[in-house]
Amino acid sequence: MAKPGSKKTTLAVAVALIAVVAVIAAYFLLAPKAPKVKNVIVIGTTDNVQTTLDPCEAYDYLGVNIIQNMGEGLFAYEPGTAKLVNKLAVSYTVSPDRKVWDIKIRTDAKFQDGTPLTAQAVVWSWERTIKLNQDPAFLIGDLIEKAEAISSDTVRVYLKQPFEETYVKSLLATWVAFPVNPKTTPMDVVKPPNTVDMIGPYKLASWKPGEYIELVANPNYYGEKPKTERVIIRFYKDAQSLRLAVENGEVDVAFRTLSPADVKDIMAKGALQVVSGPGIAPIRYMVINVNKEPFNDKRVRQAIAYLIDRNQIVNTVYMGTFAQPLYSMVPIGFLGHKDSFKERYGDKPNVQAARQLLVQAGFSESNPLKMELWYTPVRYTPAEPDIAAIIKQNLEASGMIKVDLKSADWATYRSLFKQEKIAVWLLGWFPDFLDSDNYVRPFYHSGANGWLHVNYQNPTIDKLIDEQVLQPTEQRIKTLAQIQDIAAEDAPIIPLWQEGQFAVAQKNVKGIVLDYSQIFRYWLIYAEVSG
Amino acid sequence: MRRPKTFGEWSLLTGGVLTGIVVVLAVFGQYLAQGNVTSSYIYVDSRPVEVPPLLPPLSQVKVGEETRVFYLGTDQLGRDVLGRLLAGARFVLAVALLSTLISGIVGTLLGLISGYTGGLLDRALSVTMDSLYSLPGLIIAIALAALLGTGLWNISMAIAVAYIPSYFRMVRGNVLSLKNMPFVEAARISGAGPLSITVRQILPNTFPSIASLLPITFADAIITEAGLSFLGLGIEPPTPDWGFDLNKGRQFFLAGYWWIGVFPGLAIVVSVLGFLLLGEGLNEILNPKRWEI
Amino acid sequence: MGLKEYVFSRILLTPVMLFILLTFVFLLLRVLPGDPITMLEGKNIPEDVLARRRAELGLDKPIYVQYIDYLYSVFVKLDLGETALERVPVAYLIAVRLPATIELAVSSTIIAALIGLSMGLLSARYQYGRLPYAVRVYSSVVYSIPVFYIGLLLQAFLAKPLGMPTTGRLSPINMVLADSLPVRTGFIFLDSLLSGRLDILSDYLIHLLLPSLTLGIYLSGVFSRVTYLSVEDAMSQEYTQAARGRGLREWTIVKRYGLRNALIPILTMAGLQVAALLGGAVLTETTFNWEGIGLLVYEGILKRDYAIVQGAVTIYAVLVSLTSLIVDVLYAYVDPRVRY
Repeated sequence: MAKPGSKKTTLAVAVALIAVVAVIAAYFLLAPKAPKVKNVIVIGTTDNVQTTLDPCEAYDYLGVNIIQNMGEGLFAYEPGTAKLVNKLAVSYTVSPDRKVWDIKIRTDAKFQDGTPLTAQAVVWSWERTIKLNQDPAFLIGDLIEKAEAISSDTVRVYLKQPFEETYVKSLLATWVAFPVNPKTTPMDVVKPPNTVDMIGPYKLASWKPGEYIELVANPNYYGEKPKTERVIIRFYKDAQSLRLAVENGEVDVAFRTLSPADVKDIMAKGALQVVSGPGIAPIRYMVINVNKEPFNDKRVRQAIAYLIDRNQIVNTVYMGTFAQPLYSMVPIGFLGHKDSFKERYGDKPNVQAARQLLVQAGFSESNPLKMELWYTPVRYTPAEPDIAAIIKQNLEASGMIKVDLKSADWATYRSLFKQEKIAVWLLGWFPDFLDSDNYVRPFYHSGANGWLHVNYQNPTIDKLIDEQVLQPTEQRIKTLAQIQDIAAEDAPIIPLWQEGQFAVAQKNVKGIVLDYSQIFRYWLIYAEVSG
Repeated sequence: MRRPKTFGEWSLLTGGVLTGIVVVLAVFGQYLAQGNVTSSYIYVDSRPVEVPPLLPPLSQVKVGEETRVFYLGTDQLGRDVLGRLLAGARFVLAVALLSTLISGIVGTLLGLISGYTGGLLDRALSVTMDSLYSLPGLIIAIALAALLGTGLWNISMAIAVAYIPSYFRMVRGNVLSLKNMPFVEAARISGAGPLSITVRQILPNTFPSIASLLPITFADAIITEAGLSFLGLGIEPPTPDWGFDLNKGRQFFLAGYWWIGVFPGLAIVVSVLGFLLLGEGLNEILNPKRWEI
Repeated sequence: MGLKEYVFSRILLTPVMLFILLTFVFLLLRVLPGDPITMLEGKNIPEDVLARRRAELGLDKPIYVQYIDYLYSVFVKLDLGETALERVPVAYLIAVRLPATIELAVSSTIIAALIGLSMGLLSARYQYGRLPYAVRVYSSVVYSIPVFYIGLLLQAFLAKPLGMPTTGRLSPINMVLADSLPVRTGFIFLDSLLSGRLDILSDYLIHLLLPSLTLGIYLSGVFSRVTYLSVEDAMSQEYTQAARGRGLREWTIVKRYGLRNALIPILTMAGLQVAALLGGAVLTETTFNWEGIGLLVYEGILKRDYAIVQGAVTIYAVLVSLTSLIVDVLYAYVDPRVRY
């Protein structure tokens, strides 16, 4: 019996198969593989730009980093070091009372449209930032009382207080203080897909929100041309996609953030290179609202400090290589860093000491301390639930604590601790500027730690913090040491670990520098083409 | 018992067995699990020993004289994967079952009423259902879960809301084509009221469609639960949960640690398959065909 | 009432539906803890700056005022607003993301329908053989595997060894190129074809292959299920027996009686699936980094960006009701018994 229908089906299937094969063939024939052309570098990241690329408003890591590739300030960090050097500034003098700075600026610097940089432009930029008063404006708003151009190449800055020299320079090095072109910059925040005209190696070519940003070399830059003419920054939704893209060659450099397990695997496989550097973005810590019972009892907080096993977290979640235990809120490598928590509590859990303190505080095995530990699952790392589970284990090892783990998405989480509905939670900190002050004041100073809702008020530490920012370096280190010791003794905040920086790149990519500044400098990166 | 002859009987048997195993696990699993399900430590001679994480299946851990075997390996915190497999059925299945039942019942009822009554009521309900259907299931579930908080009933309801429109549409479509068929006319002529017609004549004819949708929403519910628990809206760690471990496993899969996610994944596949086959088998029994295979 | 009147009344009802939907979403979003300003990175932003920001977004006004303002701007000014923090027009974002989702939905439905329909029909045609068993087992197994796992497996075991790209719609370099093509509809398939850039077209098709294959395989289970169930049901009716008795060929019977009668459930299923795909295979979009509407809405909820979620849901709702209207109209053509 003839079966015409089945012939048609077979034909249809055959046609479909041929079509698919044809497409694949066409791809391999027509489209060149992601070309390692010298003039384009693709950088993949799981970060995103949160607000705009206007230096007066940007406050998220990626937005700020991109601005740091398009603009420059009076001072900058020398790549590969934590040293501040003159950039747009040529020289400066500080008055004897240390409240007035005269800064001479370069005369050969030009904005993207060719307008030369003048002291007036610098002053105008700062005034704009302060006037628009967006999120990071306080960084210069709290520093500068007034600024004026006393000549076309000299800026006179009147500080609000006689701050210490490196402190001032580090603030003036932040993106908020970058000069912008008064001719083309509006007195309003600039919206995507635009940015403002700054002085830097790159300028913005195009921006598709949520997908990519394209930078192109700035022909009017006074300094050295960037090593690669064009840079495409592509956003990825999660670490797995980013890994696949870099392994596949579509991305030249993957920076922030692949999972530790994946980086370890990539290192073992050897097809790509892994570059590492010291990391502080973010540092991670636990906050305890000291107004909440029973955490208002210092002994309870100290017991918790005795019990946490930082090494277990670092070895398990970060594979032992991608993070370091942190024993002070001032990270390793910063001025005055002291492992105060290690000195006070040891670097291994001390269950005995913890139990003693808990007993003194009125707890026992039959009457354990019942607490909730809160965390937010997606914001910092996908491994957050694991970290919380480890800490829960650590605390329960005392036999006198029962921990309930709780979580919420970031928006809910933030509302919860702002409204002081929770007592103990995990958090992270990205620095505003690279000075130790930014690691003590926002946490311990009762006038500045309101945002954290830790409710910690200690007049002694307040005084010390106020003093250290005005002292010369030697003295400052001593004061910071005192601050960290008091912080460890009172333990309202328990520093946990700091993550390292990791970039995974194709083998032919050079010029990746990961240093303390946390600035990823695109203009140093290039890919070699063989043959 | 004779050997099963038809496909229907085979699938009933297989499905029944699989579902049975899974149900037993859901109820007794946590007691069957021997290893360290929620903690990174095992106790040897009453002393805690930390178990190395990411051990592949069939790894052995030697402590003093004793050797413990981890048949399915350990996860990223050193917990026993086999133990988590046995204990992890409970929450997932409860949620999937509850949400499927709620959405199936509510959706069918509304679809019947709407399709048969027609007119303004039908129009209004359709519009409302379309509106609800316009919200992607995961999104509704996330929003509702963030609102209601976690927990079995809250999550089930959050997920159920997303599937009601599917049942509604399916049943309504059936009713529309059935209500003007001869046998319905006949019943109407013989004086049967709308309620009796709907329940006796139309509803049974919608069973095949409903039956085809049930396993689908069940499977979807499991996966939605997996997605939710990954976002922290399911069950809190370290309680074992297939959905959570499945998503965890995805993060480690490319790095080569396949056992963390593959086993819970298989467990989910097996559960859903069991349910699907059971449904098939029941369908055969309840809706006998005119011809025999 | 006739078909024309029915369609008309459905179209008129759409604004009503939108209104209900918007209200629901509006309330749901406002009830969630936190608002867009809560999301700001800066931890020590001064309170007055935060308050000013909230006022700029109108968040300091009472809820009913915000509600009316929003309805006014959507229905009267036809303005969907801007995203809260980035200040990107919502309409622009949707115009960019929606084509991606539609492309994925259409291509995976085609694959699913092809596989599913042929399996279902074949199984009905050869119903006395072994084939039906195989098909039913296939559809059950395929549906039991979570979609993103199929995706991950395909990525790891098919794409990686072959060196095929698996993320995004295009390679990053081509993405930038595609946005400066002379034809820009947002549908890369059309843009590259009409601009004569066959290299971009083939790059795109390669990137499209894996995600649509993943979803297509996954859904083919559903399609084949529905097909064979409905076709078998139709085939067991008396008129089919009668036709066989009259000597009609098996394939003809399958096509004329089986397929026709099965079309309604199949269409319903297709409509349901396309609608579901349009909205939000969030996990699939994440796995393949496919920037579509699903991810947009999901991230919007997490960021508490009211404008995005409300805007995207509105557009999406219009599309879904269009799809459902088309399905209902097709019902009427296919099955003359259906009367509205």
